[in-house]
Amino acid sequence: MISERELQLILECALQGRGDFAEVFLENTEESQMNSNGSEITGIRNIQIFGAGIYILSGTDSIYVYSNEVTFPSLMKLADTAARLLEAGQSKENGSTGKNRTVNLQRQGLNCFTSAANFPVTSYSKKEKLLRNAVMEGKNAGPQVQSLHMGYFDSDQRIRIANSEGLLTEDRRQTARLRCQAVVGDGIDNVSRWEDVFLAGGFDAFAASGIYAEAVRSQICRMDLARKGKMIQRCNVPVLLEAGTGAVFFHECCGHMLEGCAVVSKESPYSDMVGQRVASEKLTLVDDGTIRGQVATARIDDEGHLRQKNVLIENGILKGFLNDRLCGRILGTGSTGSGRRQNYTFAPTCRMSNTFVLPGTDDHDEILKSMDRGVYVTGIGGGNGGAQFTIMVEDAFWVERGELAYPLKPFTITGNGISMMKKIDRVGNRLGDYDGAFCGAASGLVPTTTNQPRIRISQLSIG
Amino acid sequence: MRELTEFAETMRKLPTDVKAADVELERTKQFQLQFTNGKESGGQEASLAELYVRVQASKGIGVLYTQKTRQKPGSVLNEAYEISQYVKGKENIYMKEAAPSETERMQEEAEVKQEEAEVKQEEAMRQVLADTDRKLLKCFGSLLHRELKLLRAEESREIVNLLGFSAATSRVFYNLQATISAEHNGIVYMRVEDTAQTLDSLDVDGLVSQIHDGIVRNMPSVVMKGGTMEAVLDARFVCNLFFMAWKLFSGPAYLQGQTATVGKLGKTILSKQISIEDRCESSGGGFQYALDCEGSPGRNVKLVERGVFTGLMHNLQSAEAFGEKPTGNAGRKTTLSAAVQTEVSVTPKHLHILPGQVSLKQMIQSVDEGIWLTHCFDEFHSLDPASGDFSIPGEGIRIEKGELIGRVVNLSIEGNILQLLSGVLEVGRETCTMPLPDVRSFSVTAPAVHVSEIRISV
Repeated sequence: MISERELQLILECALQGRGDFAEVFLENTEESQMNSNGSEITGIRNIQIFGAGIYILSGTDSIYVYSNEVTFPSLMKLADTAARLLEAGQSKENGSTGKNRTVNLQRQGLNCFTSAANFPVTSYSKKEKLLRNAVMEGKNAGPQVQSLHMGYFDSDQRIRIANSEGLLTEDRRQTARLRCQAVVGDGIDNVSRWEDVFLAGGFDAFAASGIYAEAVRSQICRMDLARKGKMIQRCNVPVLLEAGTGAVFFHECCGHMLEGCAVVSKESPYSDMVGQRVASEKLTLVDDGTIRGQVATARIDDEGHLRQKNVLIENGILKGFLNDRLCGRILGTGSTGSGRRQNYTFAPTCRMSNTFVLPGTDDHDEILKSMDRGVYVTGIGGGNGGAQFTIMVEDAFWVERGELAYPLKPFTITGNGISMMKKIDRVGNRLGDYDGAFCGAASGLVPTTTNQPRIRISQLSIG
Repeated sequence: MRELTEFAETMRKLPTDVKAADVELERTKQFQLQFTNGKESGGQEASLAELYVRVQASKGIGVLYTQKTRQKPGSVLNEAYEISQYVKGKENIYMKEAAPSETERMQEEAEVKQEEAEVKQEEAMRQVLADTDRKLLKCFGSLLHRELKLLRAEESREIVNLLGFSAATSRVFYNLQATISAEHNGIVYMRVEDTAQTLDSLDVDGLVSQIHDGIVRNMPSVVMKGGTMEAVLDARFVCNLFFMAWKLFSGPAYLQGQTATVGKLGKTILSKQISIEDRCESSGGGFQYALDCEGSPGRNVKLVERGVFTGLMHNLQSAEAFGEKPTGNAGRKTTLSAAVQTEVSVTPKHLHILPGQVSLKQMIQSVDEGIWLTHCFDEFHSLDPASGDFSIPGEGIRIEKGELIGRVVNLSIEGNILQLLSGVLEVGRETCTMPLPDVRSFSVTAPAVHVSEIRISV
């Protein structure tokens, strides 16, 4: 353990050159994985992630160094390296000299590491029982299952952050996840797919929720429907995104382009559009890292900034972006508590957390009933963000006169986010069910959630 | 210097029911400088040591991955042993035999010497970044944003096992990455990179030229009807396809019936124009793969020779099942993952799709009506190696009578990878080399290919 006095000295060492801000990020994460092939436990893996990162800013210049050698001498050496690297840079006009700065750390929310004893280690036998239950749910779901592999993963991340503004704080994030990988079919016409149930909290909360049992049954049944589905024919029709995880669409379609780093690099088409209409007036999009009980929720972000609710689009008008400390400086708006990273081997960058479309005024049921002909998307497998986005639709139905006509085989939707956002003509009046997922970007894979009410896009070219 | 000697000794003291055990230490040292819009704007330095420990006792295999490398070997090995007591799998740890051949021993020693000889070249790296930035500006003056990153990475690997086997290797590489945005018929956003063993051998001109071509090809968009048509797949497009399609040639996946190539070894599966090898070095020399994570030395493998499926990439397990020598392909990191990848499977080393004789320009000129596919998005979600089926979003340029007419956006290509590559008419002579994004655990070199037909949805 690095003491508070040692942290102060490390920060002061990091600021010996022209740095105007320094941060130390310490991490001690334990993960456990247990796998079942459907009949027995085939693997257990224990994982220990342990190390420290030092981040220095000088104006809009940044240096990040990290190591898993977490001793006072090695971190002093690391801080010295970071300061020297910053000093050696050519652009001297940025930042002010931090020579001989004194850092006084003030404790805030320091209770996480010390409360470790409150979280008992779950026995392997309990996890094995959960996996057996999940396997039984899958096998008894109805459709013919050719193979079934289950994996249970839990993660306990403990972080401590100290910075030259005097902050000394900690956080602890626990998540549990069940992955169901199945092959469903008659042995000739098969489909394979994996899905996760990803919840905040440890094993006990996960097991008690019971959500996983229904999720596994649902996955097997939906896979069978997709297997029997028809290939979608080329068409230009309204598309209804189901309440809940249909919001992955917004994560990919515009969320990534509202992250400050995309704005700074001029990749984002929204760069100069704050205050302008960028979407249908029915649409209000928020990113809120404070919602209780979500995998992307935390007291602080990975720079120690308190998480907050950020309104990105309000009634169709662009209100702002998601910023970490550095992009907040570059854009002149400050951090929005959105600096995130997979672990200490990544420098923080702007990332989404719980991204929601707020409920609108259209009747939930009427949106489907009033659709004459179109596509009703009930499950999205993943996607890719950018000015041109893509999403993989895994579960969908063809709709005729407000009724589900037949299931569709999986297909891809690709398009231009900014034009798609203006085509929204219905926003339902209630949110759906959802759990977490992972989002991969420059600072690694971080947990995220998405949610929305039913949303209809007036016209979309598919197939 | 070998660091795992104590682990090797402690391993022998494990309980008598231990059938197999191995420990791998991976060390990474990275140094990176960054220029933003012509000025040095940051950097990174990293030092990471990772231990992968596996113990197989009477019941199953226990696996421990740790970055707490100061722990006593006995404590780490005992934890892996304790875990193994709960596992009932039928899997085995396949261990490399203790006595390496003379060739292998020489290869290992040469690699260790290289590690000792390396020193930091900070100022030389700054010079390369400054030169690259100047060339970028000269090539295209009105860039909206430009960011250059130059990374120097040293990676070493040491392996010991219960059979007394011990081996070590290391490699050094430089990676230059340029990210730009420009205004040319709308916003163009591009990221390109080059990797080499030395700073001097980085292809800065080639990288700048790629950016120039990428900006210029951002033509005004045109409307095109979907359907089945003739196409030229750009070299970058082919590289992207093989970030997933390499699994068609994985020995373990073949054994488990999880690839579309099952039962086709020795048969013609692709066009005669296509030959694919997995090599220990990339053509430009940027990537080297001397020793895999089980300790097997890398060797070049012919996977497809003039369309005939001739070989597979093996780890120790699949090599034994096929009665062949391992090919040095035992690996863990196949893609960016939320969980640390601890399972030993197969990954390519440097997958090389051999070039042909025809230029890209000639291939495009020979198309009467079709498309040049330039961008491939999200191949990781979009190609199923078990069936070979794909539905991949992308972008291209419409071709009419050999002329480029305009950009086609928001398209997706659909079909089966084996059928697509069976229809290859010509293979380009210019190649592109790309590492697996973010992870860099393997790399792909590919030329452009001209295919008789591909299904496009717009």
